[in-house]
Amino acid sequence: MTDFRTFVLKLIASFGLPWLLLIIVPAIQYQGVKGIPYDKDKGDELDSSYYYPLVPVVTHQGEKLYAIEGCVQCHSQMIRPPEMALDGWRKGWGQDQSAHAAEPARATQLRDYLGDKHSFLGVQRNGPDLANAGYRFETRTQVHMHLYEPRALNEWSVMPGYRHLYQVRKIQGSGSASALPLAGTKFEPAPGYEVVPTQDAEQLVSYLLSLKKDYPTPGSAKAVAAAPAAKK
Amino acid sequence: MQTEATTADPNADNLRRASIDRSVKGPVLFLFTNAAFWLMASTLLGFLASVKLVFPGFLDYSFLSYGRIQPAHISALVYGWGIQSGLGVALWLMARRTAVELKGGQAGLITLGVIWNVAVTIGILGILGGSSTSVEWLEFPPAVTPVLLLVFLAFAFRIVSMAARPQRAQGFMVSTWYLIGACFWFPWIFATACYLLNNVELGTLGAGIGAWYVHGVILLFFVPVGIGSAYYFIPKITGQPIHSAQLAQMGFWLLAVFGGWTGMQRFMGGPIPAWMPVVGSVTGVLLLIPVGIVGLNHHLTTLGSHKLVATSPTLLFTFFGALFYPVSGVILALISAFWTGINLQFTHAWYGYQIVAVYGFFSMSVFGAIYYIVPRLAGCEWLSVRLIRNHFWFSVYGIGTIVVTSVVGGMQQGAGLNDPANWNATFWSVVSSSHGYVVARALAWALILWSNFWFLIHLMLMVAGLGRRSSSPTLLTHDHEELPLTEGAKA
Repeated sequence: MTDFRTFVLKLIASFGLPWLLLIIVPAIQYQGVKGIPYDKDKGDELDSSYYYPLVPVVTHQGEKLYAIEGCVQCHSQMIRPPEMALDGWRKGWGQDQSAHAAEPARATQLRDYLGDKHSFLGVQRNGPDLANAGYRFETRTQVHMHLYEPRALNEWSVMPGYRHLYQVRKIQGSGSASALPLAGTKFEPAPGYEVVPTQDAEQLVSYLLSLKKDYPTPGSAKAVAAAPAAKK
Repeated sequence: MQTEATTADPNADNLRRASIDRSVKGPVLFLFTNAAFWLMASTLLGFLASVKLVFPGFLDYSFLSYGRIQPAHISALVYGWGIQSGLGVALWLMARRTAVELKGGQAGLITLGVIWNVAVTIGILGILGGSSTSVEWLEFPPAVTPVLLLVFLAFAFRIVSMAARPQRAQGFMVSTWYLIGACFWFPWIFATACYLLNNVELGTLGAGIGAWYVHGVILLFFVPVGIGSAYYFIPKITGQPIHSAQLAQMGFWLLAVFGGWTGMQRFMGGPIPAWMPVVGSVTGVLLLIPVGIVGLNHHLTTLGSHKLVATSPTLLFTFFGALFYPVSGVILALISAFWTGINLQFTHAWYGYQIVAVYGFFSMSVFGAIYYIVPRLAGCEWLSVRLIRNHFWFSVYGIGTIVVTSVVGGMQQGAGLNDPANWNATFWSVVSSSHGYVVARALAWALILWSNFWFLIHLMLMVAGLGRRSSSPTLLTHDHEELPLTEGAKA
């Protein structure tokens, strides 16, 4: 019996240490993490839009759909630093969408994800990273097209189409303004019908377009230039 | 270590064992049968998921898209098969090791088993139907998790309380240690992860805790149950005591000390405080030490008894399970070290690790245990040598294929992601490089599906009491001829 008791105590001690130091204490500390003002010295002149991160507002409904559909299984949301991996240099993975970006997208940081319940950093990369997906698309329709039928944009894509987020319905009057421009593609609905995004699809698109993490960090030259104090 | 020379009358020993077996029969057989069903379901889902990585249009229904079917596949494997069968093995093993009969409550345990299976079913349907949380291994709708926790705790309580009041001199009992450890660690990890991830806003730290949870369940539940079982059956069947008690102790405590720190290296280079992935990386590599120690100990114990591996199904499966343990340790070290891990991060290699640990190592050990335990509980012998062989070879080749293709495919995928020449290429260059490997994986799952189907049928026939009526166990010889007892004699 005493053997058993010492054994259990040893078990508790050996696992309790990492449990406390790796999980519990950091989780408590995290509750105190806040955004940082761009220009600390002139903090009182700043309004909340100049806090870091710039886009802290996550559309929670869209985030939920991202979870339900399991997007994280194939898409990461994490840019590794350029000295470790190529992520930041890949075309279109940062803010700069041009063919030859002048500098790599910066590595994502803890505060970029403020407001996430638990961030979807990624399981596998069977598709491109989405940390900066918001910069990648020009219009909402583009994202809708991609979600409805990924192969409409890239023939080789292995992404599943999310047809159930869209409604195929009879065209009434001159048709819906939000109908997807599928005319002329293989995926055109039957004549007299149109494909319209549901509320869920709109939420998911809003979430994807809100993913913008490649903005200047406090203290970097770019950030100082953008701070309101410099504008005066 | 397993010989109990306490009673003078050898028959008294047999009677005592038989009455222990009878006391746990209902719950253990219930857990095994349901687990085998989930294993088949998981295999089917795994096959579909791999097909969908290549042909996304195959069975194009919203509830069967890759993002839902892949987590359903893993969850069925972990909660439906793994933890359920692990509890069955732990219950029987602990009763035998401590010579404590399960006094009453069998019906209660079976009821709890039913609740567990209902909860897992709701969880899987929840993932497929659109309530996934997308937290790896915790995709179940949050309402299900407290039910799973309570059922596990009830089983763990019965198992641990046997160890607290053993009915016989213990001697050295390393398999008991591993089982107690698994019963303690799993609910602790599970409760922590479920509470934090479902109720607290944690940002990227939440992702890190999720990775810690997955590694915790593998290293501190699946690994201990698998090793505990191997440490019991290898000496039991070979008749050799465990080679070194000291090595066994070291292996246990090093696993206990390192296991809890491992996991966050999954997000190396990512947006969590840098020390967390570093600690995980260090322990992920240091775990090679306990892995090596356990492997060495098993090797020295089985030395000279390799002939038995060819005849005893239990030893065959346990032996190959024990071989997969070092393999899983090496893959963990590869994905943990920064040097190689950066290339393997976010690739198929991660899937390969989960499968080699949960299926290659843990499940093979549990199959071995099931081939030993079920005849003793059901009162009849396995029907067909061919079915057992079939199960073994399809499993070994299938798992081998999945693990090799996942790791090699992962290396290709990672190289494609990180190749500077690819900076401007479309993602097709990365996707296509691993296509062949994914096709091979789908084929492997199809083979395993075939073998698991027959395993399930075989097991159900046994549980129904329709096995062979014979006093000699089913051994892997050419025929059902009556053989001198090797396995049964030591039972």
